[in-house]
Amino acid sequence: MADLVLKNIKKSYGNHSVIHDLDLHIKSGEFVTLLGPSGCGKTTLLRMIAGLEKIDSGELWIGGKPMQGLPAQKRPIGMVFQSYALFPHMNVKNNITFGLKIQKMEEHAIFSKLDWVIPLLGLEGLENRLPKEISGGQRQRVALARALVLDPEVLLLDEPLSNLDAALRELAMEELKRIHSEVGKTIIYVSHNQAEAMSMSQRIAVLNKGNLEQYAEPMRLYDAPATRFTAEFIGSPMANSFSSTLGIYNGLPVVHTPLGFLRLAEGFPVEAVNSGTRAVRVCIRPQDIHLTRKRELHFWCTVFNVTPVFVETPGDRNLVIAKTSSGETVRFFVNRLEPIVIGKPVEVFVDASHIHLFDESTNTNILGGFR
Amino acid sequence: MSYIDRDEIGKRIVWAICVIVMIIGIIAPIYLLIKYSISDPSTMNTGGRPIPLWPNRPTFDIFLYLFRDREFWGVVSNSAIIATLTVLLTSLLSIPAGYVLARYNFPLKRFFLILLISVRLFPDISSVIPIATFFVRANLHSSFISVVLAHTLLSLPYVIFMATTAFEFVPKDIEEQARVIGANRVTIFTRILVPMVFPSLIAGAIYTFLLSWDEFIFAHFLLDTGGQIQTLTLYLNKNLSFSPPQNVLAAISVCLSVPVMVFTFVVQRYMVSGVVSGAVK
Repeated sequence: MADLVLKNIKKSYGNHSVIHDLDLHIKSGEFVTLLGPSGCGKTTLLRMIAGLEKIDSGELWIGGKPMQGLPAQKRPIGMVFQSYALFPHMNVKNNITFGLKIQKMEEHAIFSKLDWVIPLLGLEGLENRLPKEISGGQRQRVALARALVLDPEVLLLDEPLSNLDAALRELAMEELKRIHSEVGKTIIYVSHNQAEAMSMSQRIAVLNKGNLEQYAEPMRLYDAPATRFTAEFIGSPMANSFSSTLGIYNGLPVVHTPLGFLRLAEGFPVEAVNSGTRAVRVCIRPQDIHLTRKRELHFWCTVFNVTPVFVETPGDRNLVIAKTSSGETVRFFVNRLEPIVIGKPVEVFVDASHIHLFDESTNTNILGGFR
Repeated sequence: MSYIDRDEIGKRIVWAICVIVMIIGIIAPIYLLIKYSISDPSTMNTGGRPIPLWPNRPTFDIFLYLFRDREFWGVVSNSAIIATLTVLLTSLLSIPAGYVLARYNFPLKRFFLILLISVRLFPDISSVIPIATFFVRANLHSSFISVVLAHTLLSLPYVIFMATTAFEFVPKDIEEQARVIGANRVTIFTRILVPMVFPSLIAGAIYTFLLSWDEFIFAHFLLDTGGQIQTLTLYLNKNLSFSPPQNVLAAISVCLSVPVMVFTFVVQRYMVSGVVSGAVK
């Protein structure tokens, strides 16, 4: 078993703290993404796991062995850099086998490794090419092959897809998932692309400014974001976000937003409202606001009117950018055949179970303590 | 034809003339040198008539005469030994120095770099006196080692700068990747870094070789002080003072210059960039 455990990890450059007290437990064989905007500390964290960056304080365990003080070349890890970092003077075969030759592995063992990894990554026929003679996607696969032949317990991938064009990236994502399922290695993947992370990972660690915002399965991040940052970062386009007030009305908890009063989900804990009122941040995804189309809605839905000011057409559906009567911007999706007239108010609704509430001062989900 | 086209043609003609003049300026002395070296002495003393552009009876007699001279071969081998040792010493010092300067920051680094190049900020003729004095005091004059050390002193600043630039072009990712794969520092240096900057190192080595091969001032002050060792440049100088026929001097000069020209073409080929391409992105 090669569980990877990070305990109380701290890192700073001079006076600038990059990682403040981070804990993470990655199970053996898991595909975990460290997700966050640039500068959130995700690459630093990866480099600390690799041993390329010193850990200021805290513990790192891989497969039950402590890694502190162990140099990069002695750790049971493989790494693929964002730049691929292929050795330009070596052909594909020599790039892949370089690590094995350093270990003084026997010739026939090296050949059997090559026979395993070259078809696995579809590199047949490229063995004698130099890195500059192959395409970006092929370079990325060579870098992956070079890491895999060393049979590492943990594979670290630093945004390996960011240099590929969109079509190639989707193919590479499928490839990565296939390779993960075939080799069963623990993979730690660094990305700033939430869609990429959501579609590939088993669990995602959302990082922001050196803090772990949430560590959970993709669907849980989407449906129950623990913090305002996660709610706004996961999902595209960005969630609608309003400064609001939480209160009790007729014995029921409601939230007063620029859209009007919104009913809250069944079973919403009244204790969360505190006494009187509470300042909260309401986040509603554009995917969770729908046109009513005069249909009957159940009790927990709230209906309100907005005026479309602009329609974007990404292709499969239309994104409507509308204003509320108080002037706030609301974004939501409609069917692309839906006739939306700019300036003509439309009636939309939101289901209470899709409203995410965050404390205005701590930015954490107010249901956090109740779930 | 429009005015723009006429302008363009005018520009091209001016350019072409400039280039031709420049080529003549470079080629003419080399041509004259080679011409003299293969001229019969009788065709050079024309008794007041203009010297013909083409030698009347081209002959390689002078070269044959030179090549049969044992002293000449001794001098050539001295120059070659000194140049080779200078290349080895310069490479040995400049490769690690270049790596350290490219990768590490240390206090007073800029000052150190200026100090490094300062030897070459003065004309050789002014720095040769203190250096020669030093070698005499250290009892190193009139020996191979003194000239090798002096030539290394001359080549080192440039070659260190060349090596530094070359190592700066190697992405840090490459080194870190090699570490993750399991390579230690020595392996990374010998099997990744040096092969990657090899063209630059070759260029530096050739530069060093030529500098030493051509060098006169330091060789003169360190060797022409009663010692037995002579280099090609000193040999030419000595012959000049006996005022032999021009064709002998021209032939020695050709022997001195041919390696320079050949190596310059070789260096040009190695200077072509793009060695690092394909490493990242």
